[in-house]
Amino acid sequence: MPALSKVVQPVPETCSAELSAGEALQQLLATGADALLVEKQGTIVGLFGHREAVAAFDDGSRPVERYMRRPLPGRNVADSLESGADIMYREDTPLVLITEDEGPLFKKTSKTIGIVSALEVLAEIGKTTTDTASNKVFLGRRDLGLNVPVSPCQRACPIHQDIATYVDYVSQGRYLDSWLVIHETNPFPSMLGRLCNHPCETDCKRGWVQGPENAVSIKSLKRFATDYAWARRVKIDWQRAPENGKRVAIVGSGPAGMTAAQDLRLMGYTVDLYEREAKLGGLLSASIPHFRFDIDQLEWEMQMIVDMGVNVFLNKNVGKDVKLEQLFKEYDAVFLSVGMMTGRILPVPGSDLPEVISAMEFLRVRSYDIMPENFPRGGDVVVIGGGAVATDAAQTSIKSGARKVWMVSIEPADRLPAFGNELVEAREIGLTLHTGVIVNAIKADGAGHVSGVEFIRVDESKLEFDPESGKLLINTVQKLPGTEHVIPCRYAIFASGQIMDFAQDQGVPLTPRKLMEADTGGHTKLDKLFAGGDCVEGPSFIVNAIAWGHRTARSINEYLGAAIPRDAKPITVIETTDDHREADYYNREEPPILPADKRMDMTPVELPWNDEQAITAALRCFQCDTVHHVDESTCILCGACDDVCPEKALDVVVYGENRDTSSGGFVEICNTVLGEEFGGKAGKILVNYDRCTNCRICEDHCPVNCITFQRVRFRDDAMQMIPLTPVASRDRMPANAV
Amino acid sequence: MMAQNRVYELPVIVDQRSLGYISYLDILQRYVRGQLAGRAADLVRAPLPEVRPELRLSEAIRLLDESGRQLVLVTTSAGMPIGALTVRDVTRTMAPAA
Repeated sequence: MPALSKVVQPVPETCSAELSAGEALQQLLATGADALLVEKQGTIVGLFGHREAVAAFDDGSRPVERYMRRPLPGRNVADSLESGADIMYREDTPLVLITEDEGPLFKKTSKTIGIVSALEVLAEIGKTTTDTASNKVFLGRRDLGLNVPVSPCQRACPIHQDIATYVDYVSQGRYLDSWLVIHETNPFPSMLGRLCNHPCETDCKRGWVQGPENAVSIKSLKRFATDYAWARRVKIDWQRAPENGKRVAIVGSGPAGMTAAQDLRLMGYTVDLYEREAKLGGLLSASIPHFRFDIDQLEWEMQMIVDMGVNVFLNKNVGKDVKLEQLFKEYDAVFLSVGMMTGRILPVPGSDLPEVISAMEFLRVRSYDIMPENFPRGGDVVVIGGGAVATDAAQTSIKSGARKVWMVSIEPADRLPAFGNELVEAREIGLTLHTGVIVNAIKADGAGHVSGVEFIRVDESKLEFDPESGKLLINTVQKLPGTEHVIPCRYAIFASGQIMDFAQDQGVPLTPRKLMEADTGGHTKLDKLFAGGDCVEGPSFIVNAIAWGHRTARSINEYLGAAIPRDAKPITVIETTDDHREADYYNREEPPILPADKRMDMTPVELPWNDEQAITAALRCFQCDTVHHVDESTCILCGACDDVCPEKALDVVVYGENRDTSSGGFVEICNTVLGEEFGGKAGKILVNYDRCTNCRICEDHCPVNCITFQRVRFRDDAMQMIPLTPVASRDRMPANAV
Repeated sequence: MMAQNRVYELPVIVDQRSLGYISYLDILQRYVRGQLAGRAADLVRAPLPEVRPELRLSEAIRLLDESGRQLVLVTTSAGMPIGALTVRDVTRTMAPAA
């Protein structure tokens, strides 16, 4: 057990009790300390810190003695850390004087040798405390007063989709209902059904135990429901609020801008959407190659938003064609969601040659089905970079007719930033990887055209990666002289990062990273101006951009005077239902893809699921939004549920009896006192929802039938602006629709 | 986090809503009792005073002083946090006048 000597600090500066509070504050700020000790007649009589100084805001001329905290408790330097923490808590003070005994036995005196601050104690506690909180399900917010668990998938999703419900609807064959639940928070399920980074699956309870129990294929189920609705050309009839006469300009029609346009239009605003490209979609339509998604489905989803009455202005580059100042005059609010659509080309020798292009520009041009100038059909291409954009550019090059394509990166093959199956798919169609090297120069032939790219090896043993993001720490790259080599090619594509391309003269506040400065709600320092998405966060995932759109729409609505209930809860219980089922045990399946020899053009590679595959995948869901309901008047605390639970998720605790409590659960689902016929016993039932898999064996074995199950649906108000349930428009369905 | 940022109270924000704050006192108490294996949510004290950004600084400081807290949260009218006014911010402001 650590002693206070481990955290003791020297005695801070002292000040006289007669000193004015203002002068004492000057001294405090000059020392940079947390507090000064106040001295009177050679004795320490109190403490004057920042908290005490605030009280002297009105009049700093009075003596410090008037404001100081007293008395200051003391502890011996040999006392334990717990002892110091205890006295701080009891005396409500962040500082304790530390003394040391001196003098012989029976004549001992105490001398002040230092102080201990609560912050040092906290730091020490932090070092020695292991987080043993087992109930991962409860790490979210749903337990704050509601006493039921949040499904881990819904909690992990940036837009908090009601995943358990839409997965369940698929398992029941209610595909259209599933699609509608998805659309409550997600305007682009066709994209996210294929391309989402799916944090929901990463946190799926099915996948918590490694092995055959992999996560539910949530992403693919979303795609399946969307395919079903698309096949019937269903559209959503949103119930819009009446027009409120206020106008909002949105700059950029990527996922953040389109989502905000949808939300604001539904709230009754006039929305004008400015897009510098000749088509809507931003990154979705201009950067992601068409073989990775269904462009027709994306256009269908975007058209649904436009059909709400959003005014679209294509080929309008705000900052150049239209000045931001002009928008401020014409609109009540302006939302910038311009993304990071410009690729960076590293300034190495030869980077200005005509056959050197950024991956973002290459993909943008190809998205219009145009071949970039100088692209060598039948020639060799080098793509510099190891991320998702590099993989896209490499695959697109192959599918555009390049003979041999190299993807070259600093990171070793097992640490490439590209995730998912993309790299495997790219290699299957002929991509060659070259790793552990950094670009040195672009080589030209005598006619001034690219003839190759020169690389130099890096010391892979010295490379370090950010433990959180997994990204390479570029300052750990060390070149190995003498290892220069050239890969011959006719075309070089740089996939080495993106930058925000928005007119710098528009007065938009920027961060040191040259991103727009805004808080997570999209507020900037400028009146009327909001910003969100990649241009604030840096390159991120589509689902994060959609979350930005929702949040910023909410901020704009509030800014323009909408009455948002002050006591609104972050998550609202919207439905309880007895409609639930037991999960089934099937292996996880991935959606099939086209064979490699059929993937040499821009046809979407991922194939759809059939009904059987989708329902089988959906039945694997544990339905973590299911909770026990125990009839306390019937329960006899027999412990049968505890005994039969295969996951050891339940504990029946009877006061006065020594029963095993091994579940680690703390969610109380029953608290009862039995009648005299049962000896007047009292007790409770606790559940660990991290372990519970909703198998309902406890329900089956309860001798008095007091256990039932309920599902609880939640809606995140922050992600769903509209308190209106969307309804599929059946009158727009073709005649053969179901 | 408290030790790293040298603050005695931390606001607890969930989805742009303030739930309250965590005080160092509660962490110390839990430590003494050997009950640290919980979550921040278990310790949340409420309410944490909130002020609008347009409020006069002197009034915000008065609220801070009267509340006895280490900080007040600066929020929009719908309670969306956009910043915080801490005692150190106030003492920095006071310094030139003192």
